[in-house]
Amino acid sequence: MLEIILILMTASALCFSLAVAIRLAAGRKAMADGLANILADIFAWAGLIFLVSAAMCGWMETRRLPVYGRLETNLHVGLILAICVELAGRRPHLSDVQPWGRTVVCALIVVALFTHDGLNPNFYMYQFLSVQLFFFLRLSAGGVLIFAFLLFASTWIRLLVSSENEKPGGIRAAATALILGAVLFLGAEFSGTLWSSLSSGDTWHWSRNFFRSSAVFLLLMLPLHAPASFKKNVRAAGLGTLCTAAVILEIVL
Amino acid sequence: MRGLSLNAWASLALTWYVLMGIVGLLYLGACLAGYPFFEDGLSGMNAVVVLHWITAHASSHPLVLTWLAGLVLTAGALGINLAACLCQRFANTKKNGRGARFWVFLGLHLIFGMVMTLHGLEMITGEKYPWQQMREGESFRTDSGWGLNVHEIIFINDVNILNSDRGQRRMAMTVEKFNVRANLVRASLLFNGKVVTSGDIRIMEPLTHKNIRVVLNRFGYGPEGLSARLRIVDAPLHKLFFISYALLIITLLAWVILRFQRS
Repeated sequence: MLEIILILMTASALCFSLAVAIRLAAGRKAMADGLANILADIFAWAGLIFLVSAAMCGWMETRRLPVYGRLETNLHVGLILAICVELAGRRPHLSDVQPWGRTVVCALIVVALFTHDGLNPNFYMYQFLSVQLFFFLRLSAGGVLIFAFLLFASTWIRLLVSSENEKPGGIRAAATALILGAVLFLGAEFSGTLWSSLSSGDTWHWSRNFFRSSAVFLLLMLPLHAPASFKKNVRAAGLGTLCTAAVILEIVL
Repeated sequence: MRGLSLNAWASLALTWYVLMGIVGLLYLGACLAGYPFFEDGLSGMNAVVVLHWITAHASSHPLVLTWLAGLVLTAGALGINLAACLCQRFANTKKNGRGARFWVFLGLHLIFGMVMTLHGLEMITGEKYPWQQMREGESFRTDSGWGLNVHEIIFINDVNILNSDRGQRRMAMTVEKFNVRANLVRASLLFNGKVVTSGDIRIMEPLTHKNIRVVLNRFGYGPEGLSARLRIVDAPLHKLFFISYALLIITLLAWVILRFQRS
């Protein structure tokens, strides 16, 4: 089954790279014509279908949701990011983010293909739902937060280059993606507290992992509670970019 | 004067700096947790209720105590800031302006405050007793009258997997090699010498009696035979904590949906 998963992931990476290449080759003018855009979309959706198939094969083989491990992490994070990019990224004011999102999906798959150790062994702890949900929701949060990062970063770059002053829809969409990522992350933490409560009697521990998880949630809240001096779009986008980048490093690596 | 102080506490800039402060302290704690002198203090805080740790053991861990004081004070400042912000928002929003967005926004911040408060209260309420490595026939009594009798330890798999290294444990203790349902401890929970409940304790399946739970964290195997690592915990706030945590997630999700509808 692992071979099938790897083949599907390779096919997915090829499709996403073709989608990016077509958009790059056609340039912005051709996008308006639509043909290159439609072709890129077809390849991207094919890539997404391959990725969904690979993930489903993984779930069927392990009979559980994904947990941390290079192959399972990158496959699931890539899948969630691809869904965000292909569904939300279709909105006109978010279309800048599509090529970047597809590139990141492609990079995640390629890294997994070259560095993986196979699927994780079925450690007995993984059969509990609270344990599975802890990893699954955390990795899902990772995918959504990469999307939020791309939205913040693309808005930040656009504002730095064009020095626009009007409020772009990008920041609002990025903030919404950030909150959705925070919801998923909190869902993971909730599952983690259930797990901890059943296995040790405590809902949380004074430990490095707990401190880092709490810091992650507060880092996600920082861009939403920025003082007035940060309300300027450039600063808000920059702050969102940095905070989501820090969180992604914590969750995905 | 009252209005001025409320305004000062309700500042978003204060929220920002306090959040930054807590993030900084948490990362400082995460870094220091790698050093034995700090890790020992944290282990002590995990073994008993923090209030007991402060009164009995904190003097030998001054750095941990200082860090903890900083964290509690900063979190307290965030709590006051949150209360002031909510009061101001409630007062400044006209009655006809209080739609779904207003109530969800207010609700999620109130519940966040509740979750934070419960985190704090868990440090001073209930009772935690240190882990005990127990064998068949052994008993354990606490100062407050609770006790545990281990009648039987049933382990049907190869006992050698219990001594695998931490790094190899995930490979060695797979679903096929470790039957989590069949491996169990038969025990009785006592209070002042009288049995209050008896039953099987499995990993992730504690023996419970009201707010008391007896948890099994792992099995051990050595020259003296099989043993089980058990612990008695009295946690009166667990249910409330889980309910408020779930409510926080639900209100935050409702906030996301409202944002989607608006965009």
